[in-house]
Amino acid sequence: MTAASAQTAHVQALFVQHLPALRGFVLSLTADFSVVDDVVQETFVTVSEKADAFERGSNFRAWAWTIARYKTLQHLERSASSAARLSPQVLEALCADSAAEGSFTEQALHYLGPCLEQLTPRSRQAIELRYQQAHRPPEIARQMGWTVEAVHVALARARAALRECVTRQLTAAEQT
Amino acid sequence: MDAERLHLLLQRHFDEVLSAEERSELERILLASAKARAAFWREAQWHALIRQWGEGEWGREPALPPLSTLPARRRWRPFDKLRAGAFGSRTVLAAAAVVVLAITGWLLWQTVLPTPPPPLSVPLTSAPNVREWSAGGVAVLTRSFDAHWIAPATAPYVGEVLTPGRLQLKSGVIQIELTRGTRLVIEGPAEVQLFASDEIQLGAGKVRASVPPPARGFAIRLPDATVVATVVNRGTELGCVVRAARDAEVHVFSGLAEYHALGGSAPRPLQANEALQSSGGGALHAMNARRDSFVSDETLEAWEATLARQQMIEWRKASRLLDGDPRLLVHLDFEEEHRGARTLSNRAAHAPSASGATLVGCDWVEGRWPGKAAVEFKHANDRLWLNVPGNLEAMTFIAWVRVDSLPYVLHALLTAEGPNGKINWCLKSSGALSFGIEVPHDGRGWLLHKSSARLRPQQLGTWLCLATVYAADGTVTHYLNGEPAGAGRLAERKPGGLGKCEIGNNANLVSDKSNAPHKPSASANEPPKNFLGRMDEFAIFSVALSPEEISHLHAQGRAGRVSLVNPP
Repeated sequence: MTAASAQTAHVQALFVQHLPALRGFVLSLTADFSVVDDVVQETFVTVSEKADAFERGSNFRAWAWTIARYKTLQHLERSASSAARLSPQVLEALCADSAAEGSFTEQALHYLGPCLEQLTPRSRQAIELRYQQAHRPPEIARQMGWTVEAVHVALARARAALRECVTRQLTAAEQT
Repeated sequence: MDAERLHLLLQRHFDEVLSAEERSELERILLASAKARAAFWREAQWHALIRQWGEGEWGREPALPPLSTLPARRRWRPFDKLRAGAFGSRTVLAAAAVVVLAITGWLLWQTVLPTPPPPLSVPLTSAPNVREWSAGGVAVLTRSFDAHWIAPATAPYVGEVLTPGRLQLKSGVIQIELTRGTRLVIEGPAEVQLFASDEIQLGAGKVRASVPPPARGFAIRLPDATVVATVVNRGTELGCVVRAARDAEVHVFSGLAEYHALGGSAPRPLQANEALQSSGGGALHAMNARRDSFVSDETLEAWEATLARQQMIEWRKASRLLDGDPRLLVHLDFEEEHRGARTLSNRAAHAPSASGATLVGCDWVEGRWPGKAAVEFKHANDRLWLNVPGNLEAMTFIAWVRVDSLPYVLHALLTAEGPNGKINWCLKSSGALSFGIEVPHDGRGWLLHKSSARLRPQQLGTWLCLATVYAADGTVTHYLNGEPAGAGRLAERKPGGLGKCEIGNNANLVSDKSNAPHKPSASANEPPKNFLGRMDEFAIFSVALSPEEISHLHAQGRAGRVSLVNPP
């Protein structure tokens, strides 16, 4: 393996390692699940092409996240319904914030499953339709026979409940 | 900064329900306050966390959701081999049918143990549409070479839809395509469990998986680990072997994968040309990937071509033998001089001259295997015209068809004018075969007998042998793939003969006795009843064939006689 391809392989391996967090990051910028796959793929291509620009030992996330942000903005600019997204200026400001690089832990994901089971069946159904099948609230409203506003309220409450439940579990785990 | 207001706006943002004014307000707040931005990221991370859970769960459901609710995320890229987008739509995946189904003579032929067809299942209780029929499927069997199964009675046919379950191959090589796009080549002896369209378990044997980008996340469970194809860009190709004593190997040929050892240690990335061997006990040994341990696509192509050639030769021999049978009235083999032909010759040696069939509509397409011709019935007016003169005390119909869908009340296979009333041989929307005689001027309509066993949903899109026998005493017996599928009696009225016949349709046979000029054809007023699918062989006999003869005809065609995997 040549030095160049070793570098590319190293960078690609880092990419794979940070992939869940990267997906979460892109998702946060768009809130549109369907865009995430494309952006992540394009980010991978660019990251591979520019592998030489990355210095081993430096902050991979900072570098890759920057590329991902750029790709996301490109996508948003191209897509027709950009009126529904946050303005590029706001996105830049958000990404400049160091909190952008953080992400949840594997443990949080692990507790999410059981916490979901504690939701009421209708709340759980709304969460599944939104987060599992990636429907937007109008479609969820149609399927559940609710108004869009009611769907949103249910989702917000469910998220709050989940957050509380998972946080409780995480804190309890830390203490044992 | 009003934290509560910010929280509310953020929730609305992540549910995509912000109004324009609300969005402007949110943007102002985020631009102005670092605390607000920090709050944004906290919310965003919860949103992403739940989505990650959701992505992980999607696909674990045993049944695919109906097409109308497939999530926006699943936008398939137009890869040539990906037909996942077509699944759930009207036609089930059209796989290249390698298995030959030939009508052969009943003179002594090379006897080969036929693989018995799958048992006819419990009939569906309500009229299904194709989407219901497709629910539950996670893969399609697309190729099969010398496959011998541990449970031959439930062995799938090429083109069949597979539901989650265990595949146990004694020997041979099969290829299946999962509905998310992953293509698997399984070499027996092997045991593979299909959990979902993106997860399988390899208990024993060899599997090579080609994972395109939309199937990212495809996982293979091994005894001591799980391998996940983390696909980016052009896709991942990997191979896994599990031998006895929990000795397993993973080879990555292209793309990227992750090796997750059981026991929760950090996943180990694997790149192109890397392989890992694990023996029970957790010791891992890294090595180079060995492509030649696995059957290649080139080999599969070569086998398919050889098999197709051999089967075509054998079918032609058998077909010529059949033609000499004096009881054969009509034999259409769809092998004409040119593919553009608009008439089909009747190959029966003892048939009167000029007794072939005429095509109306009907495009020429591929039949049971590459090189075999067939016609397609798709449009409302597609049909074949045929004339079968003379009295008949008994008769047998046999057709080799691929049924693509059953949306109508009935789908005509053959409609005949009949001296004593119209005769109708058709498939009902439930998948049952039906044979009936019309009783005109009587108010009773049709006397008919339906088969008790019916087509299974998984059989749509696969090549089938359909047969119905009418005996002189009025007994009607139906056969699906050589197996009896129900019998009954229609003694009150005898068909007497056939006369003018339509194959694949029944809209145009208005009674000739009508004197009304410009009488509109029946199709103007009635719902469609045309067959939807392909046909590549059709025969009518002047006698009632026995169950053994029908079974023999069918079974002869099913078995693959050529040994490809281990050629002599």
